[in-house]
Amino acid sequence: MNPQVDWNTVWLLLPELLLVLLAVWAYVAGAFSHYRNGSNAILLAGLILGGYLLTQQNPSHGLWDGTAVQGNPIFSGPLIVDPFGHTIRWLVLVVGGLMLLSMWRAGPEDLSTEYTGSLFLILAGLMIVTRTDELVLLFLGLELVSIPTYIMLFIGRQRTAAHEATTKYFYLGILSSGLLLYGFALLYGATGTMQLREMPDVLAISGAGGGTLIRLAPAALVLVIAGLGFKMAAVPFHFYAPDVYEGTTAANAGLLSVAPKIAGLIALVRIMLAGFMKPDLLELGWQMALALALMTMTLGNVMALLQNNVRRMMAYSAISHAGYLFIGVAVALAVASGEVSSANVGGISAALFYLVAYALATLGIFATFVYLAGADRELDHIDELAGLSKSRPMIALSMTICLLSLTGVPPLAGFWGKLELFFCALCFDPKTVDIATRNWFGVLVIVGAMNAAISAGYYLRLVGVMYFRPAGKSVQPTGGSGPMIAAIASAVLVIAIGMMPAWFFERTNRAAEPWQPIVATTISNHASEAR
Amino acid sequence: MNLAILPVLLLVAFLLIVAIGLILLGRIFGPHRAGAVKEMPYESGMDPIHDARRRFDIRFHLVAIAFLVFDVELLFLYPWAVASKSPAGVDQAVVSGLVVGRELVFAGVLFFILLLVLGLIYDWRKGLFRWR
Repeated sequence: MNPQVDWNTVWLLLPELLLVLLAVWAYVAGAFSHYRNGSNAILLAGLILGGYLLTQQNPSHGLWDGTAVQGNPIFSGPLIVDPFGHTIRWLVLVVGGLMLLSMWRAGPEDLSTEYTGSLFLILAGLMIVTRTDELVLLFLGLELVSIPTYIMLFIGRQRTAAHEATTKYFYLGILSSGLLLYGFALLYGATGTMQLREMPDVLAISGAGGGTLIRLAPAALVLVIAGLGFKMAAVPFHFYAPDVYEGTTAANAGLLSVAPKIAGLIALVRIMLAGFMKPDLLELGWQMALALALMTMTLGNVMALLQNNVRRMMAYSAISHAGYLFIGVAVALAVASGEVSSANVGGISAALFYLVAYALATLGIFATFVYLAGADRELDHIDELAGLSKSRPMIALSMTICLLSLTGVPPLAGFWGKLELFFCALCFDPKTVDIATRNWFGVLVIVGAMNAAISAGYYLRLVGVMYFRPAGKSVQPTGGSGPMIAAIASAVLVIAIGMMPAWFFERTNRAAEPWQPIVATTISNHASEAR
Repeated sequence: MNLAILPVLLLVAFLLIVAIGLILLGRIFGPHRAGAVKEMPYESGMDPIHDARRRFDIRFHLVAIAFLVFDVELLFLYPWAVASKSPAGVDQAVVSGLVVGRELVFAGVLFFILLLVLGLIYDWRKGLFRWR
C-alpha cells in the first residue's frame, strides 16, 4: 500500500520546488535579458534560501508538522524522510554553491542563463534522488541529473572536441539509463512493488515459497550496479570519462566528477540496502562491489600517472575515488548480508564522509583550473601550471591543500575519509567472520593503501610543477573572482573538516544510522582525542 | 456472443469499408497518369529509401521539439481529464488513501501547465516561431 500523498508531501519537497522554479526563472528571464551577474546573484540567494528551508526540515529536530524522526524514517507519498537524505541535501546545496561560483562566467554570453538554469535542475534532481523511496521517482531524479548535464556539456564550449565529448557522454548516458531501467523493471517484476521498503518482505516470502520471478532479482542487481557504476565512473564502465573530461571545459569536468558520483552512490545505497535486502543477493552485491573497488582504484590511479593533460589526469583521479567509495559500499553490504557482524565503523558512514571530502577537494581543483583558464581558453598541459606559486601564491596554496587532501595527507579531510574507509573494512568481529571473507577485505585495504601511495605520485607532481618549476610563459588568470572564491572556499572547507572531523563523523554516523547496528564512535573518539 | 466487443468490431468494419472504399473510388473515378513520382508510396513527401545521413532543414527539428511540448502536455492532461471524471479515477484514489484530496491533484496539474506555459514563453522569446 502506498503512503498517502498529502499537502505535507508538497511542503517536504519545497526546497526541490524552489530549485526547479529558480531554474525555470533563469531560463525564461534569460530569454529577455542576458545580464549574467544579476541572474547569478539571484540564483545564489536562492541557494541560501534553500538552506534556510532545509533548516526548517531537519528530520531529527522536527519537521513542519512537528514530527521528528527517531529511529524509523517516515514516509510521505513517494518520499522517505530520514537523516540520510537530509545530510546529502546539505552536501548538494554546498556543492551547488561552489559550482555556481566556479561557473559564474562559464558558457557563451547569450546562453549563460541556460547554463546556470541547467545546473539548478541538476541540483534539484540530486535532492530528489536522496529522498525517494520509489523506483519511478528515483529514475526521474537520476534523469533530472543526466539530461541537463548533456545540455551543459553542449553549451559549455563550442568546439569540435567538446561536441564529440558531449555526443559520447550523451549516448553512453542513455545506454546506462537503459541498463538501469531494465534493472528496475526486473526488480519490479521480481517483487511486484515500486516501493523500495516493501521489497525485502516480498523477497523473503517468495524466496521461501519458491516464486519463479524471484530468479530475476540477481539479474536486476547486476544491471542496477552496472547502470549506477557508469554514473560513478567505476572501472568496467569508465571508458567515457577521460575523453569527455578532456573535451569539455574545466567547469563542466568539475560538475561531471561530482554530481553523477553523488547521485550514483546515493541511489546505490538506497536501492541495495532497501530493495535488495536479502542475504544471498547482498552477498552477490558485496562481492561485486569489492571487485569493482579493487579494479577501479588500481586502474584509475595507475592510468592517472601517465597523463599530461590536467583534465584527463583528474578524470582518472575521479575514477579512482569511485573505487574508494565502493569500499564503503562493499562493507555495508557485507554487514547487511549478515555474513560478518559488528563492524566498528559503518561502511555507509565512511563512504558518505569520503564523498564529502572528495567532492569539496575536487571542486576546489577544478575551480582553480577555471580561474586560471578563463572564458575562451582552457588550461590543458600540466606545465602551464609552472611558477604558479610565484605569480598566484594564494591560489597555488589552496590547490595544494585540495591535492594533498585527495592524496590523504594527515590533517586534511581526505585523510580522515580514507582512514575511516580502511578501518571499516578491517574492524570485523573475528568470531563471526570466516577467514576467506576477512582476507578479501584485508586485500581490499592493502590495495587501497597502496593506491593512496600511488596517487601521491601524480597529485604531488602537480604540486611540484607549481612550486619548483620556473615559470615558462606566465599564466594569465582570466577566470574572474567567482572561481577564485570557490577554490579558496573549498580549501578552507577541506581544512575545516580535517580540523574537526568528529563533528562531521557525528553527522555522517547519524545519517547512516539505520544501516549500522552499532553506532560508530571509535574513530570519532580517536579524532576528538587527537584534537 | 459477447456484445461488449461489438462496438470494436463495428469500428473495425467501418474502417475497413472506408479504407477500401476510398481506394476503390479513386481507382474508378480518378484520372490515371502514372509516372515514377506518382508511383511512390508517399507522393509529396521525401524519398522513402535513401541514405540515413541525408541532410534536411534544421527548422524541422525545432518544430519537432516545439511539438513535443504540446504532445507531452496532451499525454499528461488527457489521462488526468479522464481520471478526474470517472468515479474509478481520482475519487477512488482519494477513497483508498493514495491522495489526500482532489484539490492536490488539480494543483499538481496546474503547476504542470504553468511550467509548460513558461516553456512556451521561452520558445517564443527565443524566436522558435519565426520561420526565416
